[in-house]
Amino acid sequence: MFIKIDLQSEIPIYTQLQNRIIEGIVSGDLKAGEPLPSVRTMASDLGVNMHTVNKAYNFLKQDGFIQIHRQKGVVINPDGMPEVTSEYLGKFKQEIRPIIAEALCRGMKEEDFSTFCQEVFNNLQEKRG
Amino acid sequence: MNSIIAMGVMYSSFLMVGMVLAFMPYLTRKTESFGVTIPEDIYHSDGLKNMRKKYSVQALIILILLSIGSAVLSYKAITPERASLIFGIGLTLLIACLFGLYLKYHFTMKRLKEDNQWEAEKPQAVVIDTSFRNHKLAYSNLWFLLPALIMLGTLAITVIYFDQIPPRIALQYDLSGEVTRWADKSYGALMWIPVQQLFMIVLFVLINSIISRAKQQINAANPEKSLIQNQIFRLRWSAYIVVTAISMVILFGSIQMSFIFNVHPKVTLLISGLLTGMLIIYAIILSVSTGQGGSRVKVSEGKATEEIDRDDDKYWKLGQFYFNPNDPTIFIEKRFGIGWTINFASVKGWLILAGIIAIVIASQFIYKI
Repeated sequence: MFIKIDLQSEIPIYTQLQNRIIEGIVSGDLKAGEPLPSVRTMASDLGVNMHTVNKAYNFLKQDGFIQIHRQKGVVINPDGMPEVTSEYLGKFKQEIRPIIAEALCRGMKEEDFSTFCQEVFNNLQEKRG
Repeated sequence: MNSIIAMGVMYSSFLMVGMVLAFMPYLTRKTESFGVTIPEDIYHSDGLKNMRKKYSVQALIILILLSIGSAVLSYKAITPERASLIFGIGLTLLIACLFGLYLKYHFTMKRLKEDNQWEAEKPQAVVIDTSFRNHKLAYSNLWFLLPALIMLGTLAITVIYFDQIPPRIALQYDLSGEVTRWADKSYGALMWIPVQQLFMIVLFVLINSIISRAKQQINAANPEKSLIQNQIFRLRWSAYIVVTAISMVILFGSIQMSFIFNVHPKVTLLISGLLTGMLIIYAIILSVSTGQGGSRVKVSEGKATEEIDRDDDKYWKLGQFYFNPNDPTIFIEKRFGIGWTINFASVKGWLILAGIIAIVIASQFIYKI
């Protein structure tokens, strides 16, 4: 799968990397058990510090999207994806709050908000096939 | 007569090296111009076309003057050693002059870029393929078993026919085929060539491994196309390395055979001339048909995007030396050249470079006879 990192974006590189990998899993571009480049290789190919890639991989590992083995290296979790846990719900609500707050500040209507959410949700689910 | 043939071989390689350097602006990636990052469409602008043309014409003039000058001096030289010394000086001078010419264009290009702000509106991105290294990027190192077998064969024949070998063996010939260095027959002296062969094989295995490991460099403006081009580029040069390893080991093997069997030095000279000539021509054909990073390989168009490659000019000192402490990359494509260079900020890079130089020097001196 191609991973594109926008270098002028305000979003930190490790977050972009994390987002792209999760999106790749959703769309099926990255299959369960599929290997990812090692930290060193990924950092070298992207031309970024190894800490950056390490950070992204560690978050993904903590959440259960990938596994990091000593021998096999980095793979997409072959035992399936993490589920919606109460812990995740807490994080989810916390993360979506400022997004809704900004939309409200700008005067976005509830139905518009729902429509946009629905659009993105459907778009990603379609890719999943 | 022989020395004229030898000089012909030397100076035709001189010309070929010079020609590749003179036409280098046409062989680089199209996202670079004289060591400066540019958007690809700018590469095709009239201004840059003129610059490339001017550079090539000037480089060719330098090449012609220097090759005529040093060929005449070599020809008039009193001894063959003096002739090859003049050749060496001429070649060094050629590379130095063309680097100077490059620098002039590099700085002009830098100023041009500053004035024009080509990259201002275009988003810079870096694109990688997560499965890049699952593709076949180089031929297996097992191919080097072939030259290794030839080396063992050389060794075996030497041992079997040891009694037939004359008591004095010719170690070095000058360009006219006269022996300039003799050695008394001994196992030690006869091990020199197999040791050379071994060093060469190690070196080529190292280079082949570098080819598959070097940094992935996909053009963000057209990732799909660039990915295939890059793969082809690596595979073709890996094949070249395998062929070179086999040829060089055969060449050295044939020299060893000339110690054992009564081969005329002219035959050995002919074999070495033909093999090296073939390797040089092969390298030129590859450079022209493939281009740096595979930029000249014709593949289907792929999808063009809005993004352009990251501008990392500040890490390219003089446009040619990569120094980026934040990048763990060791090997990266050359900017103004064909092949790879090291990240000079990487300690490992320096160590590997030192290792390669050590192998080359050791192969010459470890075995003094």
